[in-house]
Amino acid sequence: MESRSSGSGDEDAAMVDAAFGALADVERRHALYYLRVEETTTLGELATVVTGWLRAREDGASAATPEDRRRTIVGLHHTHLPMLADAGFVRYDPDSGEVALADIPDFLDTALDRALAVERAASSDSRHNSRPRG
Amino acid sequence: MLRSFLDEVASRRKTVTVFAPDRLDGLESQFETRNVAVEHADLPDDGSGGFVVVTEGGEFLGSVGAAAVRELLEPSVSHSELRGGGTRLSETGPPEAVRALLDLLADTTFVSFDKRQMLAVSREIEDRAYRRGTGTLRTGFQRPAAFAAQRERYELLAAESLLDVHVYARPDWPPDVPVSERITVHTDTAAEIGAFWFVVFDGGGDDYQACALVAEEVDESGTFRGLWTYDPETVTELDAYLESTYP
Repeated sequence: MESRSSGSGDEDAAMVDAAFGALADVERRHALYYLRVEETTTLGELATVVTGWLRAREDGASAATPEDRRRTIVGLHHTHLPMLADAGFVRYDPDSGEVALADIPDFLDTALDRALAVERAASSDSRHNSRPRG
Repeated sequence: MLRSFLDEVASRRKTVTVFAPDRLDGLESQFETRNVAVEHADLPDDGSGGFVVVTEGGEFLGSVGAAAVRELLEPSVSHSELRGGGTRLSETGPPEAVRALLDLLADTTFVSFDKRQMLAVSREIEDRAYRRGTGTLRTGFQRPAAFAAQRERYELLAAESLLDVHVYARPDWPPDVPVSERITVHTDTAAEIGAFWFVVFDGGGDDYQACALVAEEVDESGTFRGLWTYDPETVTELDAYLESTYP
């Protein structure tokens, strides 16, 4: 496959749109953070991670429930994974549930690094300001 | 048999998976007496500290922030404080997150206790029954001397509440001390009576107060292995078993 970063102007513009689209949603972003470490996982595992992780960010004191995770599965399956797969960032097999990192352009990779750094800084700020807000 | 309750609990093994940027040492030993397996998975550092997931047989039961686990590893918080459950944690207890984790882990844990810990948990259950003031408390004493040591306490429990107090022992009863009518004594030659130390409180109509400790001494070693539960269903089954088996 041709490298995305050296494509035509139209392709580059489409990639930037897709990358911003991927970053715009907190569940998609965290799914990508995790996939960059794990590379291959399943819908179930990814849903567990996204559910647990976002709950820990919002509210460290209460538990995420199986119902919370079920809602995450629905969102990943119907919305987020198809969108990321269309952009070519992940591969998703809805039958087997297998999810794999595909082709993350440098632009998106860098943006994810920066986004993670911002979230890290935000967490540490909110800890210093007594209580994190959701 | 009481042992079948233990086997049942032992078979419901849960797994705690820690998703965190750093490894939390000491977790395995913290959970080993709880019949809980511990696994680690890497997570990019987003400042949240990560989270822990509790599963049973691969099924997701819930997750809480990893802060809960870090609290558990703090030596300043004792086991008995953690497991107090209910409303008593408000003053000296651990933060909500730890409670959320313990709630997930269980209502029932497999325990390995020494005699001092057995006494502490027994007392916790008796106190709970006393505060509730109504319901059924069933206690099995391994030896008459063990009851003799607790007799005054049990007389007080029965006298100052509406509790229905039942005591179980081998037939070398009665101990040297008399027992008032307020306490129902059941003697039986069954091997498990005398082999097991148990305290079962049915909650007196409040599921949240139901709790039980059932443990067997390992080869007279002073170590007891058994179950400690706040699960109303398990407590109800134990209560029904004792009531029907030793009328």
